[in-house]
Amino acid sequence: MNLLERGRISAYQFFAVLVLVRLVPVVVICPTVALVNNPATAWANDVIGSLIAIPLVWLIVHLGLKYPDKTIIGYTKELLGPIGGILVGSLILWLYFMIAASVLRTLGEAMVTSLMVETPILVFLASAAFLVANSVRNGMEINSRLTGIMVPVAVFLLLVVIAASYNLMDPGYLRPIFFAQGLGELIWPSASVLSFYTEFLVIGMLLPHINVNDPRQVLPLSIGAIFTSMFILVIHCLSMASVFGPLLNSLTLPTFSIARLVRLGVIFEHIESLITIVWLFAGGIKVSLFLRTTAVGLAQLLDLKDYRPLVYPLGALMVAVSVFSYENLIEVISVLTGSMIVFSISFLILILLVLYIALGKKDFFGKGTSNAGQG
Amino acid sequence: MRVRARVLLVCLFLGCLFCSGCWDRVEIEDLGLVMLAGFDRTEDGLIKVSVHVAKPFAMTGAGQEIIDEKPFWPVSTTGHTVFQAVRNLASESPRQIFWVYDRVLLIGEKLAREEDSITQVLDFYNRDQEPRMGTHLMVVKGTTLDEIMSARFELERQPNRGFDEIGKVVAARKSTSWVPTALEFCRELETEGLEPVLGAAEVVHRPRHEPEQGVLREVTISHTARISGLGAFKGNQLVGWLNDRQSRGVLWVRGKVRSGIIVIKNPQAEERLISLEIRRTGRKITPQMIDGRPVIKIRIDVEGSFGETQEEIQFLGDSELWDSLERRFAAAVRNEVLAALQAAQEDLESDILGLGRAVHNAYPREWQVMKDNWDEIFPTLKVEVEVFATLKTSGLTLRRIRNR
Repeated sequence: MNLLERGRISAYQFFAVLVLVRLVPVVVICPTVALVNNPATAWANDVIGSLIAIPLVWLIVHLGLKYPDKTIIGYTKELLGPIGGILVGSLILWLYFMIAASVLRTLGEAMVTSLMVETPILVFLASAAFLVANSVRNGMEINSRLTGIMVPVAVFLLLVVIAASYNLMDPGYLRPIFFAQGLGELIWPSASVLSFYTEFLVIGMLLPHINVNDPRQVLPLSIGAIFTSMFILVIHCLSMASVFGPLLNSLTLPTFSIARLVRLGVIFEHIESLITIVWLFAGGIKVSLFLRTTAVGLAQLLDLKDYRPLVYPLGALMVAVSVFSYENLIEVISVLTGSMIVFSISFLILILLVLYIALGKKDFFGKGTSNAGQG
Repeated sequence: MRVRARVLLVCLFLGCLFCSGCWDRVEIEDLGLVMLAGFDRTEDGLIKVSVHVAKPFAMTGAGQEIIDEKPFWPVSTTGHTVFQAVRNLASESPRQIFWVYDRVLLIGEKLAREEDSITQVLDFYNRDQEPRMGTHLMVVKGTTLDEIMSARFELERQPNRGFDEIGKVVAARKSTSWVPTALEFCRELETEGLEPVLGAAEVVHRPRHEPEQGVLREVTISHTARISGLGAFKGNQLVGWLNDRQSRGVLWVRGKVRSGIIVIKNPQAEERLISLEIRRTGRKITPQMIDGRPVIKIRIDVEGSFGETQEEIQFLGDSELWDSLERRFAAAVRNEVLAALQAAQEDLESDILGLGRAVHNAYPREWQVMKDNWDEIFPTLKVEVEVFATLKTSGLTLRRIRNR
């Protein structure tokens, strides 16, 4: 069992990858806002969802640290044996693949809804998939380096847009902090926030590649990424709520809408293209991250020597899946705010449960982790 | 082979440079930019849209020779729905009508007075990719949409700039009107315990000035527009008008007063007047629950300067005088607020002041019960208004110019 990739990513790049993964659903389609009842309390969902993500991510990292030289596919196979390994491993890969396809589709839908109304969405999906597949074939190092550069740029652009909308904000819309329908109001939006953190399962594939002296440093890095994401989410949410007030849950692309409103003086206006830049870079990098993860994981699962031949077919399949899995933008949002929440959270918990039970059984029978590192 | 593939790939990407924009590619020469738009209801119940489309070839920049042609083209169409009416412009305009640059949106009085009609316009505005929610919204008062769209401004060649800039200047210098953006209006429409207001645009007729023989050629505009007062809404329906005084009263409570002139009587010579300039303002609304009923306390802090006097007035050595000026200043501001309150509570029965919103913020639990019958509570609501006024300066002079 080899890693199929000699690439190493720095601790910072790992951190940036995680922040990027969580940033994309904030800036593109922010489906959480559709569930929010009282915009003044929307930020609480971000905090709750992020805090609940911490134990889940701790479980992901803790498992990975048992096998610091293996990817999640590697140790799934080892823990569950050939048949169970292939079964659970392919489920994990399916999740990665679905994330890639879903992000690609959201990106396409966002472009088609906002700026390029007349262009067929397939043009975006196919051309993006082609570019992404090429970047995947070039290995993870280039991609990670790009992530390291682009995440601060993306966050900066987002903050510029938010700062430029200061004169539209009415802080009165951040009050009252009150739940008209009881605290139950918080459940769905918080779960929606949490559901995107399940994408941090990608840590399982990145962990053996991180260039740190002690693999245990991955944990604080991951938790740090959660807190950074939470910080961005809360800032984003507070500014959204104070600009849009009760209109917040009526928007399909809230971040884009805020950028459209910005008008400072005569020159500084029509800055929505800044948000589009963020979409294309952040979204593109995220798709390529998950496509690469799927390709490498599949190669490891099937004990192939190289993952590269899988990339183009998977890319083509990704386009097909992204086209066929949703009918339209409304369906994308209703799936992301409905079934996908339940699915992604329970799926992650189930996978972790199976792996931890297998690990516990193995430890119990005294084998321990002595096999680790042979891979 | 690999080299050839790479060259091919590079060529492919170079191709992208020339077809950027994909299917949405459009040349600026093919666009007709909407500068000013207005919506109204026709006699037959159709939606009417009137726009001014920019005529780029008639626009001149600084230093260029002024062309004697109006730099816009007024055109209007009708339709059963807002979007249909808008798209019907396509059969009259040789250029694709493009909404991105529209800054001002006028709502005809007839449309505004109908229930749930202004929201039809705003649905198109918020939903469509082209128009922006940052567009300023005004309601036409006492005239037709056509007439106000034909108003021209002496200082601006583009009427849209006239409306836009007057809206800004009135709000900043006089605070007797306030022109919200479509975003602000929609936000207020959905805010609990707050009814929206819009700046009112009126037509002004000026006497035509006949150029005399021998003077330089001079063109005067006899038909222009002004923004004065507010149109008060109840829900999505226009229910009445507020004059300048009442409008500033509303804006005091909303915390939107930025400047303006308050005229008071001279305490030493009652028949003579004094002008005070509003410099800095602040407001605080504190609702209290007394016996299960809300009582609202409005506190307004205003800082001003002594702007003008009609009669000799001696400040030095008379601190009592300065105090009494401040008291009169406070009373004048309070009267404006009371006028607004009276209009809102008695005439309009519409909470344009946002008192319900203050109750909602302070007593969210009680508000859940109250919000459904706020319309009945509001007209009988007890409101206490306190104004604290200070005068900071008498300007560059201490005394008035004297008659010898």
